[in-house]
Amino acid sequence: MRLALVLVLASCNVESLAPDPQGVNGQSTCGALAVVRSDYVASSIAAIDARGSVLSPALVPALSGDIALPHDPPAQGTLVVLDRYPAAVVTWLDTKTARVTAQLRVTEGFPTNPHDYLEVDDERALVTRYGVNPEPSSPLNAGNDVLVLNRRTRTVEGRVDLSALNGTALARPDRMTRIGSRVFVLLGRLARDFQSTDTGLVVGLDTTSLALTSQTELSGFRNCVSLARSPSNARIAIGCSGLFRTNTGDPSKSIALQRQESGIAVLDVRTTPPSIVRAISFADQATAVGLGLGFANEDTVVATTYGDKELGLVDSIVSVSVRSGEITRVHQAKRAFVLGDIACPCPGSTVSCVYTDAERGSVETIGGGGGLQLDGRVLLPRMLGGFYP
Amino acid sequence: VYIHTRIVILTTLAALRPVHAQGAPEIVTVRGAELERGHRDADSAGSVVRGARMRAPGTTAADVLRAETGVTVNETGGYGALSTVQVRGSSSAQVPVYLAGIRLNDDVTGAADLSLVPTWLLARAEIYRGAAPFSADPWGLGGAVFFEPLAPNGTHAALGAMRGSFGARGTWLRAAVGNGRAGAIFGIRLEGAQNRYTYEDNGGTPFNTGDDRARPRTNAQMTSGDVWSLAHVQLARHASVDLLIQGVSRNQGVPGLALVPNQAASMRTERGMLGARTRVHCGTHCVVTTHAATTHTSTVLTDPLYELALLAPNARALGDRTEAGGAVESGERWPVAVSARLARESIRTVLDGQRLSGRLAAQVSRAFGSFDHVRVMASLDGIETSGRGTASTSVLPSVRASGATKIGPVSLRGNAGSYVRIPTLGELYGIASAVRGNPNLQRESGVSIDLSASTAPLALSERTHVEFGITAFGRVSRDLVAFERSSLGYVVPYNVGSARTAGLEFDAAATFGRHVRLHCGTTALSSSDTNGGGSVIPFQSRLVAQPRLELLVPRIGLLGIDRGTANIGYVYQSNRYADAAGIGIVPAQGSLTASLELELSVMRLALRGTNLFGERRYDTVGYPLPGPAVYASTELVL
Repeated sequence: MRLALVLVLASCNVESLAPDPQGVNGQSTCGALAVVRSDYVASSIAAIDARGSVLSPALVPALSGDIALPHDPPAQGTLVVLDRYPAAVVTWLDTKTARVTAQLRVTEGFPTNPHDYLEVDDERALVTRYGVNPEPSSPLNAGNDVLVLNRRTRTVEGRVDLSALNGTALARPDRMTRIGSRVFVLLGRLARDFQSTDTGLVVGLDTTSLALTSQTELSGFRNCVSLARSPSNARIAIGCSGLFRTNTGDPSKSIALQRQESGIAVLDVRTTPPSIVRAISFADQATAVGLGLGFANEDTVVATTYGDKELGLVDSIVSVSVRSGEITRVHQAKRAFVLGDIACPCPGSTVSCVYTDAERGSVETIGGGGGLQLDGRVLLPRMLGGFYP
Repeated sequence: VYIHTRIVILTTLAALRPVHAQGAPEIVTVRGAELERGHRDADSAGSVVRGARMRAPGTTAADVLRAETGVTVNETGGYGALSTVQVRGSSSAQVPVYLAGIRLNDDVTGAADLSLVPTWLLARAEIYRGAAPFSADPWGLGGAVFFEPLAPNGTHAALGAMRGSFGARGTWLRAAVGNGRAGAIFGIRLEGAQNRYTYEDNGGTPFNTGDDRARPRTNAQMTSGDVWSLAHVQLARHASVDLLIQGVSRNQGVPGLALVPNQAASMRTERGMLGARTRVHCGTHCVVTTHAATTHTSTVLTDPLYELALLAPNARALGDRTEAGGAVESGERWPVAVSARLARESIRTVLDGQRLSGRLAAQVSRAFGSFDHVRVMASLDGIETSGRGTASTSVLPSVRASGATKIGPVSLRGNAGSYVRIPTLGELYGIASAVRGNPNLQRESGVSIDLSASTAPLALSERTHVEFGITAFGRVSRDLVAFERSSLGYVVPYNVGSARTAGLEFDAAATFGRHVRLHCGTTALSSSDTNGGGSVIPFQSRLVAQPRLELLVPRIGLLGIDRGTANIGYVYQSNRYADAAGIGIVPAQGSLTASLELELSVMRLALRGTNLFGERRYDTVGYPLPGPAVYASTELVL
C-alpha cells in the first residue's frame, strides 16, 4: 500500500527539461563561441563554431536568468560564466567534460553584479563589480571596484577601488580587455538610482601593479556599456547608450535626450593615455547604441541599436566607418529587444562578425551569409563569448 | 462613516433590551453536508471553510485556502508576507477575492494579497472553482473566493492574545451588541512578527557545497493594525441594511531574495474599505438588493539602499475603487435575476490610469426535462480606460450555462462558460520604473467547462457515513498576460498566447460517530502552453492532496471543557517547474498542521502547529517558507 502511494506520488512529479551537459571536443581555427540562451528567468549555454556548426547544444544546461561571459576568452579548455544579478557567482567550467571545476561567490550580502572576468596572468584574474554596497562591512564588500582573484586557489586576493573615479555618479566598472601590459576598464558612471550619469570613462591599469596608468574621458557620451578590441589590438571601440530616462513622461522626448548622449568612440590604445580617433554621435539616429559591439575590420565597427516597444521602434545593426564616421544600417529586426550581442571571432575571414537574434532563435552573420538556428523557442540567444576548447 | 456611527449608537441602545440573550460566535463547525458547497451557486464546484479552522492561532487566509481542493497558494515568506491564490491552475489575477462582497483584487497587479485578509473577523470562506457565482463581479476565469465576516450576533465582548514562533504576537478586542433586529460588531487587532526563521542558503553556488550554511531570514518583520466594524439593521419586516468599515495599516520589511537579503527595504500598506448592502423582500419570490462600496489602498516602498531595483529610493502606488449597484431576483417558475453596477477605479503609480465601467448581468433558470434546473447567465461590461493621454473603450461579454440533475443518490452538475479579464491599470500603464506598462495589451479570455458528480451521505453503518465528489474540468485561455524582461532589466507585460488546462478533483469525506470526521481532497492537474516552442507553464503541481482529520471534543466536565475541536491536516504538492523552459524544479513538498481549540466557560484556548515535519518549502523560487512553528492563543469571551 505504502509502495503504491509512493509510486503514485512519484509519477506525478515532473522531470527537468534541461538536456545533459555535453563537452566540446572539436577544434576551431579561431576559437569557439559560447552562446548564452536566456529568457531572463533561466539560461543555458550552447557552444558553436563561428563558421556555423553546433559544437555542444548544452555546454551548461541550467543557469539563472542574468548570465554574462567574459569579453576576453579565458585560458584554453576553460569557460568562465558570470552569474551577475543577484547571485554574483563566478563559475569555471572544463569545456571538454562540461563539468564545473569551481564556483566562487564574489559578494557577501549584497548584489555586486559582476560584469566581466579577465585573466591577467597565470596567477591572477580580475572581476569588475558594477554594484555598490552602500553599507559595506569591509572594503572587500564594497563593490564599485575590480576584484583580484587567485586563479589557483579560486579565492579573493584583493581589490582595486575605483570610487575615486565616481565623478558625479558612481564609477560602475563594466567590460575589460587586456592589450599587452595594460588592462582597459570601461566605467559606466551611473548614479545609484540609475537616473543620472557622468561622462563615460576608460581607465588603464598596469597588469603587474594594477596601478592606474591612464584615464580617457569620452566627452559627450554617457552610460557607456560595451567594449570591443580591433583585430590589430591597436584600437578599442566603446559603445555608449546614453541615459535611459523614465521620468520625462514623454517617451519620444526621453529617447531624443538619450540619443544626444549616445555614440561610439574609437580609441587608439598605442599611446598613453589612449587618444580618441573618432567619436561618432548617434544624436541624429533613430535609436541609441545597444549592447552589441565589434570590429568587422580595423576601420569598421558594427553595433546593435536599441528599439523601443512604446514607440514601436525596432532593433537594428549598424556599420560605422572609423575613417569617415558614416553610419550605415545593415540589418533591421522586426521588434525591439531581440538583437543581443555581437562577436567577431575570426577577423579578416569571410565570416567576420555574428550576432544573436532572439526573434529567429539563431546566431546570424552580419551582412548575410547564413545563420545557425538553435533548437527551442523559450531560451533564446542573447549573449556571446569566445573561448578556446 | 456618519451613518455607520448612528447605526452603532442605535443598535447599542436597542441592545439594552435584548430579545434573547446570545453568546459568543459559533465555535463548533456547522454540521450538515460534509462536502459543503457555497450557497451562492449550487452548480459550481467548491467548498466552504468555517469554524475553528478559520480562528486557529497564527492562521492566515493563505493557510485556510491552501487546504482546499483545487486551490494552490503562493506564499513569499512568514507571517504577513505577500500571498496569492490560484484555482485550477489559473493566475491569481483570474481569481477575484471578496471580503464582505467587496473585491480585494487591486488594479496594480490584479491579484488579491491574502495576507491582508483579516481571518480573525471571518465567519466563513466560500471557494468556487472554475465557475464563479452570479453575484461575483467579475466572473473570474479561475473561479472566485468569498470571505464573509462574523455577523453581529447578540451582545458579547472578547479580549484575546496570541504568541507564536518567530516573534509572532497579537492582541485583539471584539465587542458586539444587538438583538435579532439590529446589531453591530466592532473589532481591533494589533499584531506583529519578526519572521527570523532559518533557511538553508547555498550561496548561489550549487557546485560548491562548502559555502552552504543555515541563515536566519532578515528584514522580514511586520507590524499591523486592523480595525473593523459591521452593523446590521432590520429596517422593516422585509428590509435590512448592512454596513462595513474596515481599515488596515501595516509596516513590514521587504526581505527580498534569500540569496541576497535586503537590509533596509520596507513597505507600508494601508487599506480602507467602506461598504453598504441593502436587501428588500418585494414579494414571495422577489428580492431587491443594492450595494455601494469604496476602497482606498496605498502602498509605499522605501528603498534607501536601492535593494529593490526600483530605480528610485521610493515608489508609491495609490488605488481607489468606488462602485454602486443593485440586483433584482424574482420569479418562481422562471427565476430571473438582473443586476447592474457602475464603478470608477484609478491608480497612481509612476503614471496615472483610471477606468470607468458599467456592468449588466442577467440570469434565468428553470426546470427542464430531467434536469432539476438549467441556468443561463450572461453579462456585458462596458469599460472606458484612460491614461498617459490615451483612452479606449471596450465591451466585454461573458456567458455561462449550468445545470443539475439527480440520478438516485448521485447529483450531477455541469458548467460551461466563457470569461474575459481586462488588463489591470498597472499592466496597462506601469507600476514602477522597472515594471512598465503596455497600453496595447489585449484582454485575456477563456472558455471553461466542468462536470461534477457527488453523492449524498451514504450510510455504511449507523454511525459511519461517507460522501464522495468528483469533478472533471478543462479550460482554454487566450492572450494571457505575462511579463517579458528586456535586456535593460525592466519588465513589460505582453500577451503571451494561449494555454490549456485539464484536471480532476476528487473529494471524499467520512464521519465516524459524532466526533470524528475525515476529509481528503485531491487535485490532478495538467497545464500546457499551446503556443508551441516547447515552453511549460511554471509553478503548477500535477498533484495536490489535502487529507484532514477533525475531532469534535465533547464536554468534559471534570476538566472544565465545554467543547472543542482538534484538526490535523497535511497538504502535499508534487514538484513543479520553476521556469517556462522547464530547467528549474521546485521540489515536492508538504506541510503537516495540527490545531486544538477548547472552550472552557468564558475562555477559549487554542494551540496550533505548522509544518510539523520541518519540510523545506518554497512556493516561489528564492523565497523560503518557515520551518516548524507553534502558535498559542487565549480569548476571554464575556
